[in-house]
Amino acid sequence: MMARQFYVHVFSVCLLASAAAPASPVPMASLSPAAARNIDAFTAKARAANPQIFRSVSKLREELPGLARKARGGKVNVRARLVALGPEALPAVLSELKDGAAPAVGDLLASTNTSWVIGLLETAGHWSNPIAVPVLESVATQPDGSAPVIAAAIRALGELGTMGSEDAEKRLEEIYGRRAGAMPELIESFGYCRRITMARFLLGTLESASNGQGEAQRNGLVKALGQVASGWVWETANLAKTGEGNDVRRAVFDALVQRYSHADAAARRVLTDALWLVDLPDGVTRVKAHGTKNGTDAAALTELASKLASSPLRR
Amino acid sequence: MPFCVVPKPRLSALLVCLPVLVAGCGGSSPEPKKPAALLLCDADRDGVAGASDRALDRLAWSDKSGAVFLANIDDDAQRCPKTAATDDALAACNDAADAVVNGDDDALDLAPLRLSASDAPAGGTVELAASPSTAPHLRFFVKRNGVFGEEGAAALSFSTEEAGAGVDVGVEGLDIVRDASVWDGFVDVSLTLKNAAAEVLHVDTVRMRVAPVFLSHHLQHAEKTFATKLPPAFDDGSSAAFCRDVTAASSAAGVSGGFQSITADEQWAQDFLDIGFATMPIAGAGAGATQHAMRVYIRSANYNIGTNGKVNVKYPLRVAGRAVFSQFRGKDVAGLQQYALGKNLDNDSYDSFGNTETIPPHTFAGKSYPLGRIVRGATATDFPEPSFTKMLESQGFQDPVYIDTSWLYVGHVDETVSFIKATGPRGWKVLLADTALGKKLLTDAVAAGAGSVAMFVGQDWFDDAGKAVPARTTISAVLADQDVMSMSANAAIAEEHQWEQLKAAAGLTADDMLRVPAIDQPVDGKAMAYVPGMVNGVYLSDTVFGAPEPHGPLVGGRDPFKEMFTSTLAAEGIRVTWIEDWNLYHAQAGEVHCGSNVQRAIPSFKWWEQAR
Repeated sequence: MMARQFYVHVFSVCLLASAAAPASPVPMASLSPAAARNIDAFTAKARAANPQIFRSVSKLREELPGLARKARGGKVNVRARLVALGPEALPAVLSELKDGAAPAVGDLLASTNTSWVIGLLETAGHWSNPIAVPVLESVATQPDGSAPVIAAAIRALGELGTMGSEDAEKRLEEIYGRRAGAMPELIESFGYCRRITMARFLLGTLESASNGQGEAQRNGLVKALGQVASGWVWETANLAKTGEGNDVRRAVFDALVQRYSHADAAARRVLTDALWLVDLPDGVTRVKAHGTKNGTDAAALTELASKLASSPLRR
Repeated sequence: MPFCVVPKPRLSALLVCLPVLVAGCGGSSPEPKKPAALLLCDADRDGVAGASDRALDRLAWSDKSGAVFLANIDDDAQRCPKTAATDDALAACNDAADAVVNGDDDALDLAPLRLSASDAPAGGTVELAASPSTAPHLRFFVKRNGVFGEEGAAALSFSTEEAGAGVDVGVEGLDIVRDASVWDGFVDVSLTLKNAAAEVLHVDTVRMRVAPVFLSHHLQHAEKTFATKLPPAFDDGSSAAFCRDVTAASSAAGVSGGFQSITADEQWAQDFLDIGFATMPIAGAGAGATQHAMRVYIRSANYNIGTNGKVNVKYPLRVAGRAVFSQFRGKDVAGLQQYALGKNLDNDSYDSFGNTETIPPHTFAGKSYPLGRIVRGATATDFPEPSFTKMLESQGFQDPVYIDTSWLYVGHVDETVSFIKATGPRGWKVLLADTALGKKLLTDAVAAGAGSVAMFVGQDWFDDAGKAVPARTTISAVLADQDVMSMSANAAIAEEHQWEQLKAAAGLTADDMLRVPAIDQPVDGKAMAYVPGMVNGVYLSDTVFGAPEPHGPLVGGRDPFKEMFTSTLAAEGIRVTWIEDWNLYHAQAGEVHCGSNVQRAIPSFKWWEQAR
């Protein structure tokens, strides 16, 4: 139906298709031989059963230059296209990540290459299959990776963790130790693992980060806590069923309020954003009660209560 | 200053204040007449360089007086080619690129000067030239017998006999201001009277200013609408249907010039060009006319990146932007491009003109913005091409406001912000996307027992592999989608911060903003409209807004997204016309505004009366 609607640059697609297949789109130096064999077996079996789905994924890769030239700002929604292929596309997605004939650097806009890899990573985390964990971990720990790609791998692991993969959650904590210090811009991504254990991990890390850690790391942790306790996400049907939502949101909310009165103006802005995200229904009351109990800076808490009362998440 | 005597070096001490000395002599013999050069410009801005300008301080350019000239970069005789060997060559052709006046229309683009010399010695000369630093920015044409028939030049020389009768000269600007730190748009033009021995007897100097380029704002009446019409071979009908919808909406809005399709290889008509204008005073143009105007079609600074990942050497700019020169440059229409190589390619999207809008006229913090202020999305790390930004800022009147669009996947300000004429003392309001409001509409529907009602009925997300994937979902499914809810929550906060930035920049209050329900989805960790973004529509008139059909749920037979937007705008006297854009725009990360453009009436506002 839409195949003819795009004014496709046919020649660019042909050129790309004829190019030699380069290496994997993203380095995976830390993928263990055993994990690699496991994934190879998984993908080989799937390929034999459903070769068409592999062709669909590789076809999308080949079409990216044309799609990028048609999408606004060259922005192709790769993830949505891959997710729409269904869970049976997971082996093909993992195969592309591990061994795929990636869009070579130079064949596309750098941003389109990145979008392709990010789309693969996000899709790998979407279908709640823990077989993707080693691949995602490998990408998340690659030494020279770009922040957007690593962040996508972390978010994908978070999605697996949210869906119940304890392995993914455990790996995330290990990855945090290896990554967060040098790349604080990644920290917010850890908040996409919506589990009470991750919330506790982040809260504990924030507590320890207060002792001598950098402002960027503290702000990253506050943002991550906002994400892990995001009220709108915990209200979605599947997560609401876990029964963890209230505990996560309250624990995070109280910890962030505790920090608010001692924070400077810039830090308060970050805290406010995170508290808005938590979106606790009784947030204003809780802030007022907090001031009464703890004797903290009343003016600061009044300011915070006012901000929460006018939360942009509430209409 | 205009009449100040310039001393010859060896006599400087005596002649610095010659008039005073002469007056102080008090002798009985009549004062001898001094040789004098007189250079008149249109200092009083009536379109004529004449006697009325003589009494003004012609060297002090201000909101009260000072002459204006146009950058003559249109193509009145339509002699420029539609194609060229390079992008730079294509842009280089205009009426200022040659040294002749290209017909009567071109003559209207020249600013008037009148020079004369009195009591000048026989055999002397008068020489017209701009100061050395500003001379490269203009050209002079002499008018004889009412005609600019000779080649223009950066300097002109006349005999004292010729100048004695008075000579009319036209001034042509060669370009607009690109970088105010290099040239601020002012030129000092001097008329130097010399005797036969080439000794300077008198110099008269005037100051002129090149007209800035302004971008249009939504309160300017729409004269013509545009959209790309893809060739039939590449159109499944979506492009033709979109053009029909925009045509119908334009007609309903009373857009006098109707709809015009653009020939281009892409559908993003908002992004690859923008439409501005430049004006100067004019005389005798009919009742009420006070200015001569030139439209300025501007090509975006997006790069043209080939399949080798490199910026094309000969054609470095987005191909569709050639329309500025191939389809629009002509009589009283300039084509303009500005770019530098070497930008971060990941930031290319910020150069699309969907990321350049204009806040309507307002006054804030003691400063008046009678033609509004440009608003663009930019942060310290995500920003448009710097030389283009410098050009916009260098115009000096619509000081750009920057808001954070880096959280948006495409990163354009038009995805979340628009402006409409409205009731209230300000006369206009901001339309702001609001995902919290969108979520509320959905949760209210669930509360009313409508959770199972379908959304996006009959729409497909994509079918690049020849397979249509239904977009159909339900209200409850959207509210259960962790990705959509997570990103919509993030977006609600980011939208609030955009509003805070707008408020701080323009002194707005809550009464100046109308919220538009929206729902976002994540792409690469950033936000993109999930429900077609109604705010991202085209403002066609003070009574008609063309919005994307949202394909929301029908609850009790009514779409709450449409209903809320309709009632919100109805309170301001504006009717919403719905335009189908799902396949060609929404599914490709854009909406109606991204796929359309509007040429608006040039206001009769006299920018030169602003103290800038």
